[in-house]
Amino acid sequence: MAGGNDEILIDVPDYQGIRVTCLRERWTEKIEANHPELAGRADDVAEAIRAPEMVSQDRDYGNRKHHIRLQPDNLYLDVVIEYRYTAQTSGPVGRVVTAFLRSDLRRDDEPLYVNFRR
Amino acid sequence: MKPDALTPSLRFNPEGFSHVHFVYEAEDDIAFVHLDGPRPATSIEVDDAWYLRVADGEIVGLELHGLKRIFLSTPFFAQVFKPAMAELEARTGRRFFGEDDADADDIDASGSVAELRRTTDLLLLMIGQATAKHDEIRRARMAEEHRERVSL
Repeated sequence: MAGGNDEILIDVPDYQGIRVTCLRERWTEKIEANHPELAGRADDVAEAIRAPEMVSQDRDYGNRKHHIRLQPDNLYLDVVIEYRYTAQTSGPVGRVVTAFLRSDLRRDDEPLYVNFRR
Repeated sequence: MKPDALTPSLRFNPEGFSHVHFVYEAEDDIAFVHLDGPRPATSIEVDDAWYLRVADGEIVGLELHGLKRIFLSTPFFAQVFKPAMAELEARTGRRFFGEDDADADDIDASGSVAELRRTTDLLLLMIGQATAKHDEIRRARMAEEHRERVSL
């Protein structure tokens, strides 16, 4: 339903080809509302999911990963994806939990994936 | 200059804000506390899933991932969160956690420092702890860089 609350704003494969989505409602009411610095930057978030430079495991939730991509302003865009199995799909699907800009990366994170080539 | 762990100091004035905005997203177990906000900011991770939100070197909020899973399973934090949670539940008529996640409500409450006194107290405590952790990280990195320079 275009323009409705259940409209899909982001729909891209992640670095492993798993489908990741974000509804427009979640984007505006949860992510942009609490991170005004990301206003109008859904395309950057989609690109960080599709082509991250680093992926790390969430430290608390086993089914969440952080997709990280350096931005032109030298800040890191960190997109947290949660993966779930559903009755409708044969494999896992992902949804955007949150996204934010961070100034630095932890040095003790063991990356699951690294690709700094652009 | 972007703020990071090497930033000499983060600015925070405990009397420099008038409103607190607390948000808890139950499905995702993420909490935000905004000071006179939300405002555009950069996040600095000071501990596992615990972020300071900083704008131009000034602390403007906190972001806690896994509020229920991490903080409330720690006896100290469970104790210090309790008064603020009761205050926020009374203000919104909603409840943080039920017997299981399915019973949890989203919480979205804002008010003046006087109206949300317990929440403000909690915020000041958390920011104090987070700032101390940030300084700890900064000192460790400075020591590491010093060792690297000396060994060259």
